[in-house]
Amino acid sequence: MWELSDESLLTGMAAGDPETAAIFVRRYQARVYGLAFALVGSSAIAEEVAQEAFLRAWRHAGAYDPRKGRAITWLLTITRNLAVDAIRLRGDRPVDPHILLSTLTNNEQADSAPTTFEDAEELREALRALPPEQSTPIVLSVFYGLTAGEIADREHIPLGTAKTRLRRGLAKLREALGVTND
Amino acid sequence: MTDRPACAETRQLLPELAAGIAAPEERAGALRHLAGCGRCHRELEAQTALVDELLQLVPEMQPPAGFEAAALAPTRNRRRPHRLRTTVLLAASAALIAGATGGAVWQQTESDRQLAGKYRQTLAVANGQYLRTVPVNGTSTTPSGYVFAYQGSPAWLFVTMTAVSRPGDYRISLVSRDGREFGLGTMTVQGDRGSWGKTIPVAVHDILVIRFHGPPGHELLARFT
Repeated sequence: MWELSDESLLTGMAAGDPETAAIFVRRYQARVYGLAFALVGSSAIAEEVAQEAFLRAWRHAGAYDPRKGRAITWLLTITRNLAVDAIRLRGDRPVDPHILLSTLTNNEQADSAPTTFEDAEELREALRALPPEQSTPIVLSVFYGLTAGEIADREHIPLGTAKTRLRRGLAKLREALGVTND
Repeated sequence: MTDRPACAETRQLLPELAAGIAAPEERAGALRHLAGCGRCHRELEAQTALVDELLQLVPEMQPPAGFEAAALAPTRNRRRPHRLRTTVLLAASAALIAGATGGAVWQQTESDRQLAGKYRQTLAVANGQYLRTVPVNGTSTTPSGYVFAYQGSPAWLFVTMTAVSRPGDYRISLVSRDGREFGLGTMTVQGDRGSWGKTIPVAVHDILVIRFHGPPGHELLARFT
């Protein structure tokens, strides 16, 4: 049997087809649960977050636009947003960004669970090479949804410095992937 | 090339926009600029792609036993409205016909399980990549019908109208994202219903809007936003 594309599965889900939803869940449950667990640090809450992410995907599959990005990034963004909401709702401080950073850049974990895009290893290496004052704002914003103001408060730095560190950190990652600003 | 001051200001904010953490008022101002600046828009897309890749660096982890059943339970209990399923079925039938597979028979009384199987067949026909559904809206908030757009070789549209306020002939045209307009033909609405289908000269992702020019004062639109 051929493998249906993610876009086809989402179209099927938009039409109310539970069988395509089942394929979609099986395909991505480990990625979604993995992200949720990495962010919330609790298996029970990660399970709730991941289930809600798939429910949102089911409900809003018709709104997915393949021109705006891959289905997996759409799904992981939903998961990230739900995890951030769960953390804020519980009043938790974000998990230590250095622990997550270590998870992201750990070679052994990368070998056991390869990612699905071409430049993953280069990006992992570039993230590892960033100075902590630049990688920390990236992790806090991209993964934990902290605003520049919240990062500034947390790191005891001026707002402008937080924005600059985030900007320079992301620019370095892009340079490492061979992309420069036009 | 030198950036305009508005470009320089917006570029400073792009990392926060890409990460989804920009303050609402800053975001609103930047989005106004981005709507009219292709270079800044492309730069935002590039930075957003980087953020998306960062999210994918998190290693996979198998969820606890029973996760799949729990995650799928809502999909078994909540069904889309029957009318939409019927129109999907009609469009899928059209795809089977368009693909000239021959001998494919569709029974509206088949179960949803069979519908899913047929649907997967449909996408496999004629190198199909995806099928989009877009509501057709007039002045009412209730859709007058749906446009089903099949991206394959060839790409085609299938239209089902189920709640049109004014019967008559509707001339159909396609406006592409680069501003070209293609006349596609005419469909007839009898009572409040009608259906129509045709291959199209552009890819589905290049469609901006499908216009239905009906009796004077009655224009319906399907916006592919």
